[in-house]
Amino acid sequence: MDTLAPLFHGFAVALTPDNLIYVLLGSLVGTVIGVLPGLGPTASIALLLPVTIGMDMVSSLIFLAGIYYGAMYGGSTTSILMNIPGEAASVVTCIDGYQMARQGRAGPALGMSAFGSFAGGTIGVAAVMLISPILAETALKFGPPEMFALLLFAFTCIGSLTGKSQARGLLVACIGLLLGSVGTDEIHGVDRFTFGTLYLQDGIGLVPLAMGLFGMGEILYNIERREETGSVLKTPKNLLPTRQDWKDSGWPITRGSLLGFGIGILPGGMPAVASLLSYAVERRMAKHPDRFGKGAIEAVAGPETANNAATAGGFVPLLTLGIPTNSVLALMLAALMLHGVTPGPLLLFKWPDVFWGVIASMYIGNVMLLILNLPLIGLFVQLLKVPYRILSPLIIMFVLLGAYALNNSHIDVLATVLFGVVGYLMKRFGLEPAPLILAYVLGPMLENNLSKALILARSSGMSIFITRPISGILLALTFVVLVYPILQWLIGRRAERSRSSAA
Amino acid sequence: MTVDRALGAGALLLAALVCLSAWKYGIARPNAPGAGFWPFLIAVVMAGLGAALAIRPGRSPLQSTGVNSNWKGFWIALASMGFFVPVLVPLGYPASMWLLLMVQLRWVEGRSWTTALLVASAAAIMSFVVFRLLLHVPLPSGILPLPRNW
Amino acid sequence: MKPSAVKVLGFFGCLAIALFSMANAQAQDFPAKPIEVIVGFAPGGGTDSIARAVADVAQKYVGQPLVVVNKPGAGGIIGAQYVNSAAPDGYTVLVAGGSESVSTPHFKELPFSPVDDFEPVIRFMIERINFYVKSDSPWKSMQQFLADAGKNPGKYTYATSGVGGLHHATVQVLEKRTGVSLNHVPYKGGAETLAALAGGHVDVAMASPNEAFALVEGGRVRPLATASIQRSPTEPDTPTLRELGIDVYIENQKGFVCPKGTPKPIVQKLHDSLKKVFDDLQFRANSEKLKLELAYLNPEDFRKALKTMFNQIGDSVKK
Repeated sequence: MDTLAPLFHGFAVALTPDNLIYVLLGSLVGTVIGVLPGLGPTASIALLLPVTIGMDMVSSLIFLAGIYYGAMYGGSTTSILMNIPGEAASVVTCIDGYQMARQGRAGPALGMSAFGSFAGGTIGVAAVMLISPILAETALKFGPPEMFALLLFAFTCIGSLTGKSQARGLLVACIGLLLGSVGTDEIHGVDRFTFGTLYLQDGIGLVPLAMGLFGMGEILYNIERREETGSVLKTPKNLLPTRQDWKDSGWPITRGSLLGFGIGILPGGMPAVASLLSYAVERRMAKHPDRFGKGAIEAVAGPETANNAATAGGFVPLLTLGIPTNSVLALMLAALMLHGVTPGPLLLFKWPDVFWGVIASMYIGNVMLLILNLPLIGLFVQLLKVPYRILSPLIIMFVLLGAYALNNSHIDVLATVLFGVVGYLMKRFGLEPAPLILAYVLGPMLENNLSKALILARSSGMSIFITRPISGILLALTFVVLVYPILQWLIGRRAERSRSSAA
Repeated sequence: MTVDRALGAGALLLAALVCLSAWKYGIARPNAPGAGFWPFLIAVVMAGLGAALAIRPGRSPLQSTGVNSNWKGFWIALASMGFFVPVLVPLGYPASMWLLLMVQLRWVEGRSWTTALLVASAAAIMSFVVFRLLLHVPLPSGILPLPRNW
Repeated sequence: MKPSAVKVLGFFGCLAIALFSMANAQAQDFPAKPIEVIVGFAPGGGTDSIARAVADVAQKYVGQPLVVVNKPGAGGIIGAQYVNSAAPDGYTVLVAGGSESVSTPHFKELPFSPVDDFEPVIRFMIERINFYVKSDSPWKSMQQFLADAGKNPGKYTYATSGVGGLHHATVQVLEKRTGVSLNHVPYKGGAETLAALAGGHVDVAMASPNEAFALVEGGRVRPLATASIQRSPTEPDTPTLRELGIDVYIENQKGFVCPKGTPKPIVQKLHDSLKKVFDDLQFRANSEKLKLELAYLNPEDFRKALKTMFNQIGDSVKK
């Protein structure tokens, strides 16, 4: 196969001692940044960009790419151990990952998310290498109507996340939708529910919201319940996933890779959306969906795989078209340009060393991260042996510090504390935060794409959603997913009736 | 009144308020839904759910309050965080975080003075050094005297 | 003259001299500590990259490090407000000149005036605002497009990076001047805007050349016109709107401003050292690679340019 020859060349570039060190360094820095809440790869890459100017072109890109996917690896750690989502992409990992940690299964959760990240990253890179030019074209065809249909599909899953009471859960989801609509409306520029403050014009930040609802809410709840519960976290039992865990995670990881990569190549498809969608899909596919929210390993494996695959997928539009789909990739674009490389269709021909070197380094980086993370799991799990009465104030410190570091704003810290109180109340009254977060993230995107699609459709109106093939298929799928349970219920009833009439 | 009833009633009230604002933002524009369309839609769904909950509360009772809840610790914890927010910038990160940790460790968690002092000082200083020096997060230094080029 | 009047005059005279010399003394010591450069946007955008490009080489000319601090939010307004309320001592500067300075104020009420409440220090660069169409678009020139759009009001769509931004404002000024009527489709940022154009979802997209160059080189989109007053040296075939007889001159400027009330000597000293940064070879080389279009202006001209654009947009945009 002729794809392999340049890839071998790429490995030759990436395997020089210098470049190996940069892969390692990048992955390490990325892991650290991912683990610390509030710090994302964007700020760190912006900071390190000037340093890389003096470096060799390929080395600097290898280094920066390493930070990016390294951060995705590290992101799940605090979610699982302390219920603190360090960044948007690891919010869903909190839901089941933290439950696993509470049951003494932090080790398997961390291990499986590391392996999922490895699989997602590697499959993603392979896909970038093999099919990126074709995919880039298809991704461009994905306009507002298609995005709307995709999001609607994701939305149908909210109903299944609601826990005990459907009505209560849906009400919580509505609150999420409302919180999502706060801020300057993106279509008309009207300020909604901002109460005249500048801070609310950009809406409520996902990270303060999620850190408050999950991490801070949990802490406050534990403080209030201290005398009943004593210690919250069980001492971890085993470090590695069991055979059953592997069996449960196989398909979620495969699906997560494909789904994540697919979302990653879309303009506006963020890793966070990929992980949310993966969670929703796994929940749909699960044989026992009621295990979700109570420490199901597939709910950690799927999303963690998906966000890494999405990270890799984001390189497709960047390398083939020169379109960065998020701010980290915009910085990578700047790094390329600083070295005189113009991304785009010509990149492959004009700078094969860059393209294949970076691709090869991403394979190596993923292996390194896996090897690096396995001993770290043991170390992180040791952290849970710190008495909870000392750990708890330290978790508060990391939450507040992370909230400030996000935008260098103390108002974000305030927001985190306020949402902490909300999270505490929700936990106290048995309301799940998951539907709120999902609705909060997907709601504004759904609204935005609906409005844009209608502006673009002009006179043809709603028919735009059905006449365009991709959105038509997606909507049909959504319809089936919605109607299937009703049909099932009807058939079940009829069977019951016929049985009772027969008897 | 059950919690579900209260929740339902609250949802109805909120929905009414949202409807009002949505109207102000404009429900429809010539070629697209207006800025108020989406909030309006949410409010309608919310009102429906709220009404359903208020009329037919769920069967499973919501969790009841524990008898021996640690309310004192809860309020101290919350108050100390509330205090942390406004003093973070004027006092600076190390000083205000140190205070917060001291309160948490000593009065919420009931650790000894020595433990509290050691853990609070080490954590506040180390996190400041790591975030500010190594990771270049511009944490406010406040009252802590710093060498010039930090 | 009455003695009391002499006393009063003398007092004010002394005060004036004292204040002046204080300001001078301040200017002589200035800068005695690192200078904070506030960027009202998240890392990864044009405003952030010029701030960092300047900060990289500034220390040897300014004598103190320039520390870039991102205070993102509300389209740059959070950062602007932070600098607006900072002490006017030259140690807090804002990277300004874009949407937050000249276009956002016409779309919403702000607690301060983004032009009058700041002291311009220096302009470093401009980001052109171009009209792009897909390569296979039937319109070969801006005139063709405008003629067609004139005959079909409300038929064609244009994408921009957001409501109330400079790109949106530019089209509104164009609509006002030519009488055409277009449909606005706001996206998030330049990348999404261009992706929408390349995917054929909209008819025209507003973007800057340093965002679009890869797609232009790849033959997917092409520029029809630029809203600057001079043609770009890198795109000599793209006409300006003024050449076509349409009085539109709007560009996204990037420079440093201080809070209002910063002593003149300090502004001057800051300007002088930053001018040396501007002339630095390393800075120029890096900027060229990033495809930043350097365009220096001194404090007075920067202020004039800001005013021109501010008023132009103000005339065309109804609040």
